[in-house]
Amino acid sequence: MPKFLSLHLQDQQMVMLPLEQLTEVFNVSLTQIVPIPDVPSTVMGVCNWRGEVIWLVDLGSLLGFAPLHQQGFRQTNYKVVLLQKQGEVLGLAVPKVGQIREYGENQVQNAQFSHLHQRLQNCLLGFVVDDDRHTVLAIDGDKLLEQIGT
Amino acid sequence: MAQSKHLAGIGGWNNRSIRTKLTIILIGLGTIPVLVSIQAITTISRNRTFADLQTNLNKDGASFVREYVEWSRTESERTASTRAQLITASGLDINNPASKPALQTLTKIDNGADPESNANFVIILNQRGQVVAREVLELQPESINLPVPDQPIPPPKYRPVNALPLGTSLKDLSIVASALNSRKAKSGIELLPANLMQKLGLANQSTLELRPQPVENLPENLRPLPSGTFNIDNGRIGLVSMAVEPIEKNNQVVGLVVVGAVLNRNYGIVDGFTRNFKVSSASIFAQDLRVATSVPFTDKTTRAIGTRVAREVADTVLRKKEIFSGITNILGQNYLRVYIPLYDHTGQQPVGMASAGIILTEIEQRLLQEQLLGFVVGAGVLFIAVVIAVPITGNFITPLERLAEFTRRLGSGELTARLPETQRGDEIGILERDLNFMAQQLEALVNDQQIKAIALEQTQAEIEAIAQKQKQEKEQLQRRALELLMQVDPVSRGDLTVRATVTSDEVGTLADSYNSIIRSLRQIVGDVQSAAQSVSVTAIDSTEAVQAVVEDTNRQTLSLASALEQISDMVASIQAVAQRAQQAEAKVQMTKQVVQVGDDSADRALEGINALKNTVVDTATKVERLGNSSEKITKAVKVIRNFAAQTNLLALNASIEAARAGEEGESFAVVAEKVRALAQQSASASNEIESIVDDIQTQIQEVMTAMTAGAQQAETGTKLVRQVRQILQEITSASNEADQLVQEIASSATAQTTTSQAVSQTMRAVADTSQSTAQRSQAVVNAFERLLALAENLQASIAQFKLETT
Repeated sequence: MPKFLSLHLQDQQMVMLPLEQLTEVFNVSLTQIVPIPDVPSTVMGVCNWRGEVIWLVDLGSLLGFAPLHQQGFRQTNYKVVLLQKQGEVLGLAVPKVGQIREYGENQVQNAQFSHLHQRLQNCLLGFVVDDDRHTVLAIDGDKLLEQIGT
Repeated sequence: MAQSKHLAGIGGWNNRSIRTKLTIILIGLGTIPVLVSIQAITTISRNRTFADLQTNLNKDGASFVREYVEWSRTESERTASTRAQLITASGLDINNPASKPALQTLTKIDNGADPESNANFVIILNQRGQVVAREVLELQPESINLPVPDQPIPPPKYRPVNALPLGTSLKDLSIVASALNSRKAKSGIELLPANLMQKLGLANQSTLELRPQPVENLPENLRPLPSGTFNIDNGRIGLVSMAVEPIEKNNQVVGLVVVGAVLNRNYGIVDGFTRNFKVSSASIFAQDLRVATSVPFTDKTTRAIGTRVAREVADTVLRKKEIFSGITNILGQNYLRVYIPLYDHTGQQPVGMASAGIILTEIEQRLLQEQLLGFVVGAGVLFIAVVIAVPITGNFITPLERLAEFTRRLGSGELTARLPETQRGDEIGILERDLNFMAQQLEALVNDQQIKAIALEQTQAEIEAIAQKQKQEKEQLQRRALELLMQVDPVSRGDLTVRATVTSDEVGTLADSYNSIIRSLRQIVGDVQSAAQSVSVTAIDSTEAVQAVVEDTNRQTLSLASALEQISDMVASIQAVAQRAQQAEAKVQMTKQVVQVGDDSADRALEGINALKNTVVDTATKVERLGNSSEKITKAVKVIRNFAAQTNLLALNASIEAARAGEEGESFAVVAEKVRALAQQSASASNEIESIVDDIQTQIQEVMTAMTAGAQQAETGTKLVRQVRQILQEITSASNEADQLVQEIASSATAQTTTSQAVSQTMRAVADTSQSTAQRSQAVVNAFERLLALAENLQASIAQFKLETT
């Protein structure tokens, strides 16, 4: 059974990513993020990770939910979840990290959410209802990277 | 003549002195106008007071009808109207047996403390006038026979009556019939005969016993009309404030609500009015019969219900439909009253009366006091008139009396009398001077006559004297011889006083030799007699002197005895003083001990408070340290939370690593997950610790505040105890002074006791001495008495000789 890590976004929105697609989770403060001009608003900038410069994106904004800056960066510290595939590394910034849970293939239910952002629909695996009766959307990290690439 | 007859008619007026008449006239002139005006003023004020009282009473009577009697009718109207609207609004079908319980609740009576708002029955009738639901209450026995109130009466109490079965027709009540026919609401003070009251089940409350009332000695207009003039059903007539309200449904009258309050024995209404309006009594009448009243019956305890009103009132109010206002008589007592007619729903003929009034004797008493005050003023004026009139009369009358006295003396022959010279210029003065002149003339005339009479008398006396002398010389010689013999005869009987008359003739020589013999004999006896007399005189004088000594001595003894008694009394009081002083000293000692005890207690209290203060300060320090410690805990907790967060992140990354490792990382993933769970637990535990520490710090702040307050209170306590100690010290010093004074008193009392005892002894010795002096003097007196007796014997013997002519 695959394991997922749940992530809290703005407005109590929750998503989860398969644990095996992740590399690391670390803290970053706003002062460590270097903004880059002439990039889409979903890109927060770059930061230093073990001597490498990596891109940071706002996961909520990327998936069509409320962007982090909309609450005026009230938090000074964010969690960054690293996605890595074939040498490509991307940091997903979220307000808070949730729990690790195992869900079977049949527990993740497929559904069509036509009202969601096109980018989210393209990488959506399905959804589960967790123990706290929150709806958590399951996202495929690899497909998300492909979306960024395009 | 006519005038004298008139005066004689007055009686003894002419016989009275002018002084009396003048005084009476002056007093009369001063007093009569005052008395007449006082009488006039009191009469006017009496009439005005009556008019004022009557006006006020008329207003009060109107208020009684409006706010009490008619109020009960209005209250019935209100209740009836409300209930009828409720029935219409709730859509209840009156003729449907199923709606009976609901209708029954709508007949509920809610009586309170206001008697004029109370009701006796609420009845719901159908359109045929038959009872569908009802509640009937009657006064409880304790409220039926209330005596005349001398204190606030309790609110009336009611109890339900089980009468008036459902289905009974009440069409024989004229007000019900009238409302059914006219389909309109009706209300009024209704007169219900005994059979209807019985039907309603309220006969107990309404039935009155007709009582005999005193009519003898009363004029016809103050007696009641003959019985049977009005229909009062032999005292069982009921007077009820009633209202009937139709119940409408679709503009059709489907039933009636009947509400009523029985006025018979409804004492709450009359008593409430008399109490609130300060009027001495009020009554309600059915026709001319008192059915509720606060007027007492002739026995002064029960109420005068069951009695009837005077004919003049019944004629005015019930027959002429007018208000009666004035003085009338109730059961032999005069009242100032107002009677107002009451009407039923037809408004045609009065069915009864409401009345208010005041007992007349109360008013009369007040007026009498005013009149009495007026006459006291009159008496004052009379006194002043007397004080002025008497000296004025005296000024006129005294000279006239003096003139009368003077003429009386002249008349009785006292011609030397004269009136004193006067300076008066009025008629009295002229009269006095003329009378003096007349007296002088009279006196001169009389003196002239007297001198002539005396001269005539002297001449006659000289002629008589010469004739007498010639006769004496002829008889002289014959008598001389006989005289000598008679003169010497008494010598033989011891009389040595005789003398023979020595004349120039022969008889004279013989007489001379007799005389020399008698003279020498008399010499001898006289010497003896004078010796005996002088002994006797000396003895009597001495006896008196010694007797005086004895009496003085006796008096001295008596005085000494009483002085001794007084001294012994004095000794006793001084001893009492000494004893009291000792008692006072003991009390002062006790006070000092008590004060000492108080002082010790104050010391201990002070120590206790100081200890308490120290404890409070120590505690405050410790609590402050506790606060510091808890802040350290907060810091430590923050560190722990930070560790937990890092551990959590590390465990998460470990889990990710394990997942990427696949099958081989499975066991490691389990460990990482457990570490992560532990990290989260420690994070939540540290949160709990933080909130607990916050609570502790809040409480520490409270404790610090309380400690500060405690320290201040301890300070105040210390001050108070110090004040107490100072007061106790003042008491101690005052007691010491008192002690010293008491001791001085005791020692002087003791010294006085000793001195007085010495005085007492000395005086007793003096008394003894004077006693023995008295005894010795008595012995001397006795010796003198014996000597006197001897001298008297001697004198008796000598007295046989007569030495001198008597």
